[in-house]
Amino acid sequence: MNDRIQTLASCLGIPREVSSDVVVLSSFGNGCLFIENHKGIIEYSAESIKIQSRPCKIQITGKDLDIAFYTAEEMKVTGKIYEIKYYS
Amino acid sequence: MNRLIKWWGGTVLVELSGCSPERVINLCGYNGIELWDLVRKEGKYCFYVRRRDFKQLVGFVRKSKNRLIVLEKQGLPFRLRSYRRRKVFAAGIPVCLIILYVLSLHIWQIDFDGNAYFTDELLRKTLIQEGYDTGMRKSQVVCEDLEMKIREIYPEITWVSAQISGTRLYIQIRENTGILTVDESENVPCDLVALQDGVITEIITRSGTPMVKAGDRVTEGQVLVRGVVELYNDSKEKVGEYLVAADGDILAQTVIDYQDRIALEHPVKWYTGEKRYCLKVEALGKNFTLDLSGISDSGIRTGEKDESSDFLRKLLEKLPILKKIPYLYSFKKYDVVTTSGCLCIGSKLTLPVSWKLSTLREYDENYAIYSNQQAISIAEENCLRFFEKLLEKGVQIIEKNVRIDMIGEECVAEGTITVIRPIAQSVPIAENTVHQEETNN
Repeated sequence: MNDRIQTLASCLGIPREVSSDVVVLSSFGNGCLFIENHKGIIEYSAESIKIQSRPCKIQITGKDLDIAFYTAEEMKVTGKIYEIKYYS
Repeated sequence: MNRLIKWWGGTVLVELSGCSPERVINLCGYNGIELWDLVRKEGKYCFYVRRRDFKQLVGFVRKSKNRLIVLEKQGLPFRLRSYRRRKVFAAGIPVCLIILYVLSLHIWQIDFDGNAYFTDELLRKTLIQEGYDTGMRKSQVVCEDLEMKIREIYPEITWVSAQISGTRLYIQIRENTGILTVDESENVPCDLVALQDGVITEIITRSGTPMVKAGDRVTEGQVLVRGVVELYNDSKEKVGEYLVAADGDILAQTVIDYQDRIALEHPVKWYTGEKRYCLKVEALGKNFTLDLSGISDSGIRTGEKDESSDFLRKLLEKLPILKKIPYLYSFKKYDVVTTSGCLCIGSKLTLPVSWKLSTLREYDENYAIYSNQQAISIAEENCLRFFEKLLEKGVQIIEKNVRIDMIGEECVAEGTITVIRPIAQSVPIAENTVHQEETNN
């Protein structure tokens, strides 16, 4: 069913991030990361942020990590980002 | 813009701690509560939240059994809340607005534009005499009446436009200084005589009898056009003559002597760096002056011949720092730079408070010496300026023969300029005849 919706959306030219609620990460260098379509925070510390998303969880490790803003749809992480890891 | 919106609604900086603060953050996210500047410090979360979302946040914290501490409140609602007990301040706002409104009903500034011949001060005096002054009510100003009065008093002003903009009366003026008047001398019989020696290049006679033609050499005072018209009958016999005011355009090639001397030694101002100030404030028609200039006619405040004055002079020479005290020492030579301004809200609402700050800068006059090159370049500039002035007057320059030399301690520019220029000058006939008789004798 989901595959059919994806096929229809791609035929109509709708971007994937709109048609499905998969997580979208946009990074500006290693100092700023936008995360769209997340499902919430699992854990947060200055060195590591774990985020629940679809289809997997994301772990961001770094130094002095801050969340510049946080809404239901998107969040912005600032600080020195060393690693972005996807895991389930 | 976003910050302004947040400030308008109010924001709260909170500290969240407990067993699962992430749950509260996620709840905020699901319920559309925006959080920003989220920082984790020592196991606690600090973040900003909007004032209107704060109550909802407190509910989530209670549900999740966490702790919430308010660290800081920012924004307009909290600021207003803190001022609610200050009754005088609260009353002051409407009083201030009322005062502003009342003041805005009056004229507090009168500006003129387009006047070159008539100064602002002169026009201001005239307006005061006619009953238009700063401080008068705007409703009393009849712009049409004011325009008419200015035009009546000054016929040279051809167009006036008065308009009120905020608390400012703005008067635009167009002057016509070159008013055509009937020249009485036109009716007086006169000759046209040469102003200086030269060769006539062009002669157009409008009235009178031409005595010279193009190519003639004339001398200073020679009659060019006689103010007499002779009448002849059909047999070409002279039957009479009548006098007219000779008129015409006569151009002649003449030679102008040019000489300019520039002394190498010239005075220069050397600023000592000492400054004094004089502040004048005018508020509601009253003047307040704070004079720290310490200016008197003599160099020193006290009488020059007194023994105390001599003592003071010696003291000042030994301790120059005392010169900074205006009442002990006043400047002998100084420049004055005055800046003025007035209190206004925006560009249109001028309030009846204005000031003038005069800065006095002391200088010593010393002498400096131009280098030869500098002196020559100044002489060249002067020469070019002289040529430009001639051209502005409508004089046509045919030949320039100016030589710049260094003679002793001076730079001398000398030479002749051959030009074509009008040389006619009106001379009443009676006077001219007498003059000619004298020369004949």
